[in-house]
Amino acid sequence: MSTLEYLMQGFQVVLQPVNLFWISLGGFLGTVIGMLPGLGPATGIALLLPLTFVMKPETALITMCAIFYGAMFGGSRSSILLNIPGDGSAVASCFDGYPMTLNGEAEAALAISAIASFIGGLISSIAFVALALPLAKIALIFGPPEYFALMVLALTATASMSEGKLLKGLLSMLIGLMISIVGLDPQSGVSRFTFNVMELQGGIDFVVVIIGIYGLGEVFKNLEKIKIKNAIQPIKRKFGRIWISKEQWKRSLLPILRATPIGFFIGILPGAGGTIAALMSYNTEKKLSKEPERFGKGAIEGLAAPEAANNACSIGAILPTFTLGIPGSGTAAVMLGALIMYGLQPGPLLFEHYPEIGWGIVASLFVGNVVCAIINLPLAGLLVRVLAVPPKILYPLITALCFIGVYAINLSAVDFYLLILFGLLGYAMRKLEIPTAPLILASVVGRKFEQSFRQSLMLSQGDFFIFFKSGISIALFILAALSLFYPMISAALKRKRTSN
Amino acid sequence: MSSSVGASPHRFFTEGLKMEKKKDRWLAVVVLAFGIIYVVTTLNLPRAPVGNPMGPLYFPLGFGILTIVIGSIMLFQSIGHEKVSAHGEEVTKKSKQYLYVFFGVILCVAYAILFDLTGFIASTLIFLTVFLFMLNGPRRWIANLSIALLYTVGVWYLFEKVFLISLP
Repeated sequence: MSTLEYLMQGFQVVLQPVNLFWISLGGFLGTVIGMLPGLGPATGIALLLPLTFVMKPETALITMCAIFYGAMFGGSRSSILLNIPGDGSAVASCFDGYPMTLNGEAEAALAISAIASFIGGLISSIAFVALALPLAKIALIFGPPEYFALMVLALTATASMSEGKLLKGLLSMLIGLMISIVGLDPQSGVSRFTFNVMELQGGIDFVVVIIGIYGLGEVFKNLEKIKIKNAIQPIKRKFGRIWISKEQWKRSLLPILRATPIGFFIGILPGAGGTIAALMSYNTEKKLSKEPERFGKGAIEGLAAPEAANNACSIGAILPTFTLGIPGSGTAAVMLGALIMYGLQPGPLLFEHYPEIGWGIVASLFVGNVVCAIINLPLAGLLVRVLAVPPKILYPLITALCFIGVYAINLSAVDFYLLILFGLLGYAMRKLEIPTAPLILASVVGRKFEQSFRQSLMLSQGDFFIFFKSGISIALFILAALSLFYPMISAALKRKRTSN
Repeated sequence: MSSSVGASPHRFFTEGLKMEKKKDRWLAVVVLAFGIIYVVTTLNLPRAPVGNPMGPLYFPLGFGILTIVIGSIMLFQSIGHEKVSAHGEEVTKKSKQYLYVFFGVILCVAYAILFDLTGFIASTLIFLTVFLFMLNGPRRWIANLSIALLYTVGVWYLFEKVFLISLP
C-alpha cells in the first residue's frame, strides 16, 4: 500500500464520530490548559492522561495529540493578552503579541496566532507524512548498540540544549535515569533502590513523575507568590471580529513559511524544544526584516513567525517519538510513555502492525489542526475568559486533579506520597533553575536505555567494543559529544572574540 | 519543552546574582554528597544470580559517578565567589511566601492520608474547602464551599459514570 492509501485509512479511523468527539474535546481542553499560565502541554497531557485509560489505544493517543495541539494553540493567548506566557514556547509570542494588544490590535494578534499556528501545523503534518515511513525504516537497521548510541545522543542533547545550563541539565537527566532504575531489574530480578518497600518493586510509574514534577511542582511554585500578586490584570473581554487585514496577511505569510521549516527541524532534534524554535524564528525574522525597529512594538510578523515555528516544532517532535521511540521534547516524552503504557512499541512495527493507530495519529494531525483552528478563531474571545479565573481558586482544583490522576493509574492511593515527593522535587528544581525536561525524558526512556546497553553487551559477550563497531553508532556518539561540548566551545570562542 | 518560565527573568538576575552563587555552592555540596551515597548504596546492591553478576550495577554505578563528577565541577565553579550579602528585608518577605508552600505540602499529605481513610468524596471535599479557605480567604466562604462541592461531585460523576473509573 502506498503512503497515501495508508493515510486515507488513518482518516477513516479519525473521522469516526467517537474519535472526532474526543479530538474536539481534547483540543478544547488542551487550549484551556495551554492558556493557563504555568500549565504547558506536558502538564496538560499528564493531567488528562487518566481520562484516556478507558479508551481504545488509538482513541487515547489521538485525544492526547489533540490536547497537545490545543495547548500549543492556547499557550500564546495569555502571552498576547497579558504578557504572561502560558508555557516556555509562548515566550517569544509576548515580544510583539502584547504590544499589539496595547496598540488596540488584540483581535488581529489572536487571529494571526491561530492562523500561523494552523499553517505551520498543516505544512509540518505533510512533512510528517513524507518522513514517517522512511524514518521508521531506518529504525529497522538499528540494533541494540545503535539504539544505545541514539539514546545517549537524545539524552545529552536534551540536557545540554534545554536551557543552556549544561551541568544542571545533566544533573536533571541523572535524576531521571536514577528514577527509572528503581524497582526489580527486568533482566536479573535483582531489586534495586526499593528500600524494601513492596510498592516500589514494580518501578516508579512515569505518570506519577510527570504529574508530580509538572503539575504539583508548578502549583507549589505558584503558591509562593499567590498572595503577593494580588493585582490581577484587567483582561479584555469584549472583542471585535477576530480576523486580520489583507495588509497584515501579506506581512505575515512569508515569515510563516520561513518559520515552519525552522520549527519542524528543531522539533525533530532531540532536546531543542518549542522555546528554541520560537526564539530562533523570531530572531531570523528580525534579522531579515527591512524595518527591524518595528519588532517589539507590535510587528505582526514578529508574532506570526514564532507561532508557526512553535506548532511546526510540536509536530516535528512527535516524528522521532513514534518512528524511533526517541522523543524530541518533554511533551513528546510524555506521549511516548503513554504509548508504552498501552503496550505499544514505537517504531516501524507500530505502523506495520497497528496501522489504525500509527496512521490514525498521522491523520489526526490534520484533523486536530483544523479543529483547533476552529476552536481558536471564532471562540477565542469566549475562551480567554478562562484567564480571568483567579489562581487562588485554580490551584486547589489543579492539586486535587493531580491526585485523582495518580489514583486512576493503578486505582490505588499508594503512589500519593511519591506524587508529593516529586512535587517537592519539581518545586526545588524550579527554585534552583534546574531544567525539568531532561528528567522527564530520562525517566521515560531510562529502562529502554539500560536494556539496550545490556543487550548489546550480551550480544558481544561483555565486549564494550560492540558500541563502536558500526558507523551509525560512532556517528551518534560523536554527535552526542558535540552536543555536550558545544556550549563550552561556543563560550570559549565568544570569550576570545571579546578579548580581542 | 521548558515549563518553568519566570515572569521577569531580568529582574531576577540583577537582584539575585549573589544569592545565586551561595545557592549554587549548597547545591554542589548536596549533589556531591548524594552522588557518594548513591555509589555506596549501589555497591551494596545484591549481585545478579544469573548472567553477568555486575550487570544490574553498571548503570547505577555510572550514574552515581557522573553525579559525583558534576557535583565536583559545580563546587569548583562556585568557589571563588565568596562575597555574599543577603538582604535582610528580602529574607523576611520570603519566609512569608514559603508559608503557603509549606501549608500546601502539609495539606497534600493530609489529603493523601484522608483519601485512604474516608474515600474520595469526603477527603476531596475537606481538602478543597480548607485549601480554598486558606487561599481565597474565609470571607468568600459561600464561593469556597460551593466550588469545593461542585468540583468534587463533578469529578466524581465524570469518573464514575462517564469514564467508568470507580473512586473509593
